[in-house]
Amino acid sequence: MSATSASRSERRARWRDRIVPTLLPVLILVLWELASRFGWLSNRVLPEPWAVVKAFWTLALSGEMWQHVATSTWRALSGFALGGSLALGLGLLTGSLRSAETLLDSTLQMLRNIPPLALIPLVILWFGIDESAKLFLVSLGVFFPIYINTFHGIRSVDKGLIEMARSYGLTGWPLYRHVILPGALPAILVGVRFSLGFMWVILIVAETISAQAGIGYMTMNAREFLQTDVVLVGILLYALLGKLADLLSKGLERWWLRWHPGYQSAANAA
Amino acid sequence: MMSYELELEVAALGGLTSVRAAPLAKAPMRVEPQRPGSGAAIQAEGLSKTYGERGVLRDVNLQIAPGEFVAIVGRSGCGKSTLLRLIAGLERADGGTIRFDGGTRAAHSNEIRLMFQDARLLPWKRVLDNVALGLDPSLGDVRERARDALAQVGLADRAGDWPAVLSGGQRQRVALARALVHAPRLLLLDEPLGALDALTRIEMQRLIESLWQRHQFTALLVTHDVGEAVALADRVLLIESQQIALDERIELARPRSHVQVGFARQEQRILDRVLSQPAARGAGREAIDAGSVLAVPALRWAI
Repeated sequence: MSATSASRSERRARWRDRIVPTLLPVLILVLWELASRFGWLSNRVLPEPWAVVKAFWTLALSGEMWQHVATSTWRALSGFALGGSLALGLGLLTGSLRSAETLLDSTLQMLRNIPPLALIPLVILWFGIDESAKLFLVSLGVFFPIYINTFHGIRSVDKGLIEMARSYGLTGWPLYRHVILPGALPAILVGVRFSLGFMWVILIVAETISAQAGIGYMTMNAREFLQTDVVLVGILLYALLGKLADLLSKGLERWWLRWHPGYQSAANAA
Repeated sequence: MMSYELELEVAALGGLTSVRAAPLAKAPMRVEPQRPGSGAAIQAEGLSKTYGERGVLRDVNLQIAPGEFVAIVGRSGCGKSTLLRLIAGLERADGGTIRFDGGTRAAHSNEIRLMFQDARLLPWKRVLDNVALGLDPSLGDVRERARDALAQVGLADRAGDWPAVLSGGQRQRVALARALVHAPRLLLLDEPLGALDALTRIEMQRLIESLWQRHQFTALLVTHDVGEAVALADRVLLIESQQIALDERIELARPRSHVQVGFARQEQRILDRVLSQPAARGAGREAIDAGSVLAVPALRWAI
């Protein structure tokens, strides 16, 4: 009996832990809605939350939004694929071969200090304002987090494990596949998560400066017509897509690092 | 037929108490096709090794007969691990030769297996795949052989686990299985029990002894525990002042125990010899005095 009451209070505590964190956002939303309704908050500053929901709904129904989302997602993913694979390849190369490190690493470290967004004027001159400009910027943005983490991941693989594997007759590709690559994977995935966050930042800036389609184009267009509700829809979409990318990379970590003590409980529960 | 044999073996190893009574000599080696004469003969001549200014081994000569169990003891930093690593081929000697059955070491490197102080299991591979690491698939089913070796160390039921969930002793048993699955003719043990608690150590000692008796490989154990050396080895070597300072044959009947007649006496004698001031013995005095001042930081990574 005491056990059941304990479990009941435990359950109540769990519910409380779930509800309490949502109280503040809900309160803010309610205040915001009221402020807009009573005219304390101009529509030019912020639309009422309900208007944002309606705008979201109409844009979703008309299919216009999905087109923009698809365009932006395609840009983000292709840029990520291009920059990420290049970074992975170069990181593996410089991490594994001393000679490649001496040749390339200091150059790459120098380039790393240039913020990709500072290149926008140059990029517009080079590529104009079409897709290749955005592809270039996103690739550049995702390159360095993945490159640096891959490099350090390879370098920080436990030397004892490599020694063991060599003494068990592993050399060349088998050694790489069974020991070095999995050993570097945690660091590589950290780089992937960083670059996924960066990917959206770069894309947002690139799209708001120059685009004929995409979420950034949609919001900039709406700004010209003072449609603050559509602007907010755009911002929300970016947030959602960013969250989605983060969840995806977390899922990858869970699967690939399921051997890791840090993920063990999750793996056992699954 | 195969599975029947396997069951017999699991039964024999079922509890660690029965390990001691496991059917010992003459059991055929089934992990890999039997090679002629299981144990390898090792001959080291004039081995020398220095790290920078500091000499670790000087002109060391060593003969190990096929199937012999030799333990190397000595103070920490005396070079016992270095000797093992030279024989394992993990480090290059500055001088001298190592012969394996009269041939070169390199030609037999796949017949030598090493157990480290830490188990060095790959954390991203499940226990079974760790044991199967580096096995040649052309010699038969890799997983079947790995499972067989796991059963020999009594961990058949942990095949699907991640190394992270195993205890220290279990990890070392997996490492032992990983070494055994290659049917080594020389097993090198670099303080593999150093980090284990007392009870687990005794279990592991018995397990290693019974597997050694069954497979008849040559074993070379580095340990700082003289009791462990006396319990396991046919011969105990003491390394001191860069040389083999003592080569003591242990004639006690197996399985040995600490209450056996003569055990304590032999252990005490070797221990006394280890503890007697090394600096007081002429030969290595200068080297040690000079080295100990300069090379204390170097000592930790060197040995």
